[in-house]
Amino acid sequence: MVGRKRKAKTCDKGSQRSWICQLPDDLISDILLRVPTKHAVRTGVLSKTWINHWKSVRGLDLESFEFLDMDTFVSFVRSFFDSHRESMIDKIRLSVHYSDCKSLLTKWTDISIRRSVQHLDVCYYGPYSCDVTMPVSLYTCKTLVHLRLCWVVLANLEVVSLPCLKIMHLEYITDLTEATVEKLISGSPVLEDLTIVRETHGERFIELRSNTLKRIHIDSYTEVVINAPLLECLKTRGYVSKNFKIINLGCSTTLEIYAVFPRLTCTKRFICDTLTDIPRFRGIVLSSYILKNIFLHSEPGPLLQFRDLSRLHVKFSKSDLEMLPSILESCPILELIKDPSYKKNREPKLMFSTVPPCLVSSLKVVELIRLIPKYEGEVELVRYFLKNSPILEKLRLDTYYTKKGMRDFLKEVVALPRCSSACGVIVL
Amino acid sequence: MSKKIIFESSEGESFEVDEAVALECQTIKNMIEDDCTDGGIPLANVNSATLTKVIDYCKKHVEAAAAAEANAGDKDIYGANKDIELKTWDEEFVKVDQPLLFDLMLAANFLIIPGLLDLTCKTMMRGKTVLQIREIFHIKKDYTDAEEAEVRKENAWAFE
Repeated sequence: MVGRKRKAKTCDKGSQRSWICQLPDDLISDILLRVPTKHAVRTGVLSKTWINHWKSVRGLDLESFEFLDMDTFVSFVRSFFDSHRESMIDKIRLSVHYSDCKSLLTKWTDISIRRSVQHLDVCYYGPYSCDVTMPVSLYTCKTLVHLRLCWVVLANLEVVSLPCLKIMHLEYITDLTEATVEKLISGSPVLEDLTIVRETHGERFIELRSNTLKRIHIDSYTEVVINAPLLECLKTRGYVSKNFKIINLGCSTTLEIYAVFPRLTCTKRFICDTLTDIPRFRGIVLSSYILKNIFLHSEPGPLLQFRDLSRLHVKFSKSDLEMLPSILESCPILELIKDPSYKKNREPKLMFSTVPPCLVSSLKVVELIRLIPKYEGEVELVRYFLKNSPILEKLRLDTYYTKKGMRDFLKEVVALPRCSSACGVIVL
Repeated sequence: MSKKIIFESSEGESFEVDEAVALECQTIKNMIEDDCTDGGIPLANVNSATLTKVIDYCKKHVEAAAAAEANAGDKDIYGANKDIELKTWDEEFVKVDQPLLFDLMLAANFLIIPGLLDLTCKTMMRGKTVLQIREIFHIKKDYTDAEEAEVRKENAWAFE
């Protein structure tokens, strides 16, 4: 028989039971492992039974600026490692800005690895970031599942063996070379998630070659070459020129492009370069600003290059909804359209002259997330999809309505003619 | 047809689940591998309400994994959004009253369901102040003011 005992003691002998105080100590420590260390320490004032719970947590989640001075910070971290001399450590997240802590950061990382850490997140954001070196033990850590390194140096990297590593974030790694990335990827046989953030100028291109990667996120001014046959999602920050080159992709990959400065990104060159790659993707996630520029810089209509696209996720503002007819015209095999609409002032006028082919032959799911309150064309939009798509399976609508408004809206939607008998309308 | 595993709740109620669903629990996985699941598995400390929820959770995650696998080919129309859907489902799943949340956590702990343990642990305290924690979990303050001040002083940095 399988069983376990609940702790008999209670914290509160009053009328209401305190469930949390009856938990076994290791579960309380599991809960505290999932909050920042600062918050865990604060639970010491809850009651006398809580005074020591945070001390048994097998991890740290700290930022040095939470401390008034370096000495307090260093002595806190030291006492943590001292008191966990015998036990394993699950998670270490240290974000340090004191330049005098650089060698300590290397040492603490090394200790964490020797205590079988699974989740390691090390960030140095003080001055002279180019000399916080990671210990050699890091590259052969057998327990590591999740690794994030930021503003540190990967030196003396010869043998890499990270058998459990699934998620790797390399952000602002000084002198990140292709050889380094290649060693890290080939030494991580179960890696699924990779993020690379690089400084904006002066670095060479790198190739990402992996048979296991499912998600890649790049924020890099210089080009990253993608060779990942199982890739499901490529997310990239747009700069003034296209920063990725595709050699090999999964058969159903989604491309997400976001831009921090969309006006600088959306040059004709960027759009034209990106358009040549779009046929290799089955889904795209864009802001309506980028999409608008795609239309601006290319021939609109059914000849536009979206012929293989089956999923489209665009953030429309209200006025941009006017693009919807041309988008549908351009995507002959679209199966899913997701459209989180946002509020803006002008009333768009939706003009559908013909029924786009995707509506007749492929569009199965439409999700209009956050419909715009008091937008008069809203019901028309819903009517259009319901009336013209014979194979629509699901129409999802999010609404902001009050109860009464919702009732009226539902009445209207129910009364609309439907072309597809199998279509379910879900209103959330 | 896939093999069935029978769980028995603390009330003696039987729950039949697919082996694939039961395998989500590391503890049960070990028992299945040791071939000692015949005649059902009595779970003396899991009541029926909790067990129903636990089975829901395992089912959903087995289905999601299977769907992700099936969709890896050409048919995928949801792609990366599946992950988001499952996360939203998880968030809704833990919107339950406190006793049930604790029972779920205890069940996840001893059946060894890492995803559910992580989910319930995260839900418990994240984003709550000490005062809120004390109130939500009915923890009675047994410090004198002087004692509390002393505890705060010891790690003053955490209370700023």
